[in-house]
Amino acid sequence: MTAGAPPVRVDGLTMTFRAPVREAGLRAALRSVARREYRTVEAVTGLSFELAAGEVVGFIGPNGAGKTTTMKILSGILHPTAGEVQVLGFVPWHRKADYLRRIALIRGSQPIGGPAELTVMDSMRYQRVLYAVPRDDRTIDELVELLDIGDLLQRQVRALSLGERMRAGLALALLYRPKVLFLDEPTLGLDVLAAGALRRFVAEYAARTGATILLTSHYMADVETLCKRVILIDKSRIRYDGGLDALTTRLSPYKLLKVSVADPTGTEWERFGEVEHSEDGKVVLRVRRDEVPAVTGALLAQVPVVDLAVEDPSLDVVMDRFYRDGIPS
Amino acid sequence: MTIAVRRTALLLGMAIWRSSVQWWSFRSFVITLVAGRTVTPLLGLFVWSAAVPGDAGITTYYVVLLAVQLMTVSYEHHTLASDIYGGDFAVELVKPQPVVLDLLGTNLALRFWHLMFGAPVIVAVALLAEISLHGVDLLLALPAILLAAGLRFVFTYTLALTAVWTQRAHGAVAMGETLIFLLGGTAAPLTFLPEPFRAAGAVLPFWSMLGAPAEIAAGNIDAVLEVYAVQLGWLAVTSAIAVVVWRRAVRRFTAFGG
Amino acid sequence: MVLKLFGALFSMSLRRSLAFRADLLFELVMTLVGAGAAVAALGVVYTRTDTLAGWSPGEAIALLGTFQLVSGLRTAFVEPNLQWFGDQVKSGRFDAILLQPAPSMFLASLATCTPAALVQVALGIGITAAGVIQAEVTLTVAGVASWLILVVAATVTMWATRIALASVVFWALGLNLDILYDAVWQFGRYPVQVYRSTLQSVLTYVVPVALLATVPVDALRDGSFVAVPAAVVVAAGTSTAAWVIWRRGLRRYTSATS
Repeated sequence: MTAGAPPVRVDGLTMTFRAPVREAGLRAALRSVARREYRTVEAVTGLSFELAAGEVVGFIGPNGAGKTTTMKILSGILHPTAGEVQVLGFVPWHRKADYLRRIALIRGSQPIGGPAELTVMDSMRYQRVLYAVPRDDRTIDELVELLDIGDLLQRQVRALSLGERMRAGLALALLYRPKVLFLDEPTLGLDVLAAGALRRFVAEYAARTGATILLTSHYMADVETLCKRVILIDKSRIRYDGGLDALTTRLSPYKLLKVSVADPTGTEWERFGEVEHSEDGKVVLRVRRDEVPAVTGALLAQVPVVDLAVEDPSLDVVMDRFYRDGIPS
Repeated sequence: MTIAVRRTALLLGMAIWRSSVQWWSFRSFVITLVAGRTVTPLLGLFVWSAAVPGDAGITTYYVVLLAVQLMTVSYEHHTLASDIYGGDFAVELVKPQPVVLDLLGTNLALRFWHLMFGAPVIVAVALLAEISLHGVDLLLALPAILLAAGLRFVFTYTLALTAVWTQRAHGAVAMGETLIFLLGGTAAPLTFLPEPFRAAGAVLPFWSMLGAPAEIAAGNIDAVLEVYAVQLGWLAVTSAIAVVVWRRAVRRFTAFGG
Repeated sequence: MVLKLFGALFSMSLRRSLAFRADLLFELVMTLVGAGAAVAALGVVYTRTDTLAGWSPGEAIALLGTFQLVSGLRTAFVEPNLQWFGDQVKSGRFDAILLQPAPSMFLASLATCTPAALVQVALGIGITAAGVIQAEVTLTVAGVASWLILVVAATVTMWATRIALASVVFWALGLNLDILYDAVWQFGRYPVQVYRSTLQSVLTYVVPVALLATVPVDALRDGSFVAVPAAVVVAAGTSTAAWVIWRRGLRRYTSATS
């Protein structure tokens, strides 16, 4: 890898596979014995993007959009039908040991592999042999402290709670200081507290080691705290790649006008925009972006406004709408 | 009373049907199961044909034993024990029907498919071994087969219930199968065992589960009624034990969970 | 590096099984009962004959011991990994193997083991020794060396064929041939000369079950190296085939799953 080259380069990545289709019932089952029917499924289509060194990028999109497939390709588990991928100068699916030692795929659904009857420390020792981590390496101590897992080391993996398991899984995966991290739904199923701690840790790890991180999550809080840039994928294609701040602008043609009035009676709010919420003299209106200046002017002129603020809708709401309705025209 | 019986019969019928359809979709797996179940009788056939060449009685016995084996297979250590370990047992307990009904349905469906997929093997071996069977013997063997099938189910079911107490229900069933192998007429026909094992084997329940119907069908037994009586006696005893174990198992399960 | 890795893996498995002492004890009892049953079954055969397809009782016991030895190695090192391999693939646990920077075929087939099954290996060696003493075979250095090489060749062949069979899931997810493999495997516990001519040829040349125990003990008793080249060729051939099939299967897996 030449200096300055982006650690992750994806060009025209496409993956299709054949899935057998079968209707329910005995007759269909019998028929499928004789002749199997397949349909081609496009998992990802023509993805192209680059990640710069040290960048933390959110990879978002609805279920089945192709996020996990992309993550699996980047970590070498799948090889694509077409397209080129270079990560740290390696082609992932060649699965060179030197490559696998430099990356980590961490999944919230399966944070720790291997036998669950062993203690966390046992798994750590194995990981150290597997990834050829020198005995005097201090990374373990650092991670134990950062993740606060000192008490977990002697416990069996199967006895850990989900949050503990995730922390231990992170420690195991980061033991060998991977340069590129693929985090697939790392906060899946965690409670608010555990998810927050995890986000803080990832942010600190990224800042400290300069690792490049690609992160998928359905929780916008993860993306908002960790990523400046997001890649939005939907129906196997990239629909947006850019700053997080511009995403809301791109996805939501609306802004929210939060208006406070002294006397809430007598105003026909529907004239100004769609009423999202109304309570005790505080009203939230949904107004088209291009109409915001006009509506604001009208409001100030016609209503005894105490306070007025213009805000973007929360990312959660925007994404929720996007997943349901697609990109607005 | 009759309504309850009809409803139970209907539920059992549906359980068998549903389970048959389900296992049909796993047919490649069922075929490997059949292969696994035919291997010990086949090995017995080969070894004994080589040990006492020219003995037509013994080849006939093993071919019939193969058929009986397939008609009496029981996998409750997989179905019931896995339900208990996996937590599905709780769901079964909630259903307004005896838990045993679904499991019996699965058992019968599996036996049906074992017989269907195993039939070509039975026929092929029977033709190659040139066995001779008599209609009367086969008729006399029918009740014995039914009793053996019931006995084997109750036996395996009870052993599988130990899953409520230990993690080793598979081992318990395997132990039972080893006893059936040794004393039930697979390792050797019971009459070939040295005393006192022969006498003990005849009154223990293992031979009643497998070897007895095969011996009757092969025409090697005159005192058929005595065999029925022993089988019936064991069916009563094991059923009583099964009921006691079942009650305790449910009490324990509902107190501790899976 | 790879040796060190598997050393670490073995020690992990050992620690894990020591954590379940009751289970360990149960496994030991099961192994003893299984071996006892096998020897007893053979014993019954020899109450009716002095020689089974040309094998004296002691020789047949030595053969059974060798079969137990290789079976023990299979249960200890290979089965814990490849049993229900399809489920690993389906559940995505297999992906974790692909992420590790070590040869995937070795990780997938040898990463965990059940040390308790090594008792079966020891028992197998003991039974072989007992058989050799009973048969009054005069041991020669050549015979023992040949036996040892042939047992190693059989073990390698077992490992390779087991991998090849497990790889089937890459083409047909849901096809599980574990039980079929085990069914064929059982034919190894008796001398292949027991089986009729066609089957004997199949078990010698097509699925080399004869290599398992018949050929090694034959060499032990004759003190000859005749079978060694062929067995080594088979071991190397099946290993190469397994490697090729694994690679192809993996390529298919990595391009076809979701």
